[in-house]
Amino acid sequence: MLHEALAAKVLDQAARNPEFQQMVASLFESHLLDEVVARLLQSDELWRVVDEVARSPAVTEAITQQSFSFADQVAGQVRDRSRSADALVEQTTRRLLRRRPRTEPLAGPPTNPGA
Amino acid sequence: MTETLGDYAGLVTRTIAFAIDAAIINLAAATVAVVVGLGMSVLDVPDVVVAAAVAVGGVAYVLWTVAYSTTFWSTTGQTPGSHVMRIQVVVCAQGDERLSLRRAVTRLAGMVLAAVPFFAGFLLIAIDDRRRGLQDRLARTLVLYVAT
Repeated sequence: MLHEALAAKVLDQAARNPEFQQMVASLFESHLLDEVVARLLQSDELWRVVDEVARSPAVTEAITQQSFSFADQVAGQVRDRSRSADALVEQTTRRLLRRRPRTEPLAGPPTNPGA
Repeated sequence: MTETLGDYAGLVTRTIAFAIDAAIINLAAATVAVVVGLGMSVLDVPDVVVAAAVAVGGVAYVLWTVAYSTTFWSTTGQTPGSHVMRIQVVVCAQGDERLSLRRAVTRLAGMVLAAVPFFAGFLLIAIDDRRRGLQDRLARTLVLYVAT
């Protein structure tokens, strides 16, 4: 606990140091970082790690979850549009047949038996 | 998840639900037909057996279609297509009561009758005050939107 607090304090002070900031900036500007990244991308170990992560239950579950929610979203949109189309088709048909608009309540079926 | 029933379901929503169900029914039937057909082509069976298999397949297809619709209507009130479109078949007078098997068969027969005069029986949905097609009038059923 004490070590963690001390480490955090040291890191915080280092991050505020202008020389340290300049050093980090020059590291990013140098070709060294590009070379490290290029070597990393060429290494088989990296791709093995990526494969392992991709196959992990947490990742596959997250992807499945996302696929389901996407399908749900699509189905929801289809439902919304079809309900609007229901009303439109009904209005058009009734107008063509010169019938008055629907008078039945929109709140569902009658509850009294024998209706 | 509690489900409440809302307004009467309209023609477009019901048509989409029906199309989904038709796709499921035909996909399953086609899969079985392909497997049986391939098997028979390998075994080189006589023509009489092939003819008999076609006849049995036809009867099985009709039975499968009847079983699919009536089972879902009389148990949950929702076929998979209806479930996707969030609609439910209920008995006309009893609110959200499920259909009996007999009523479900009557409804299916009503759907066949509704299709005979160039689908005019289904067009009743667009003009009926409770959006009932011929099948709903015959079986005394209603189709309602399910609000979740």
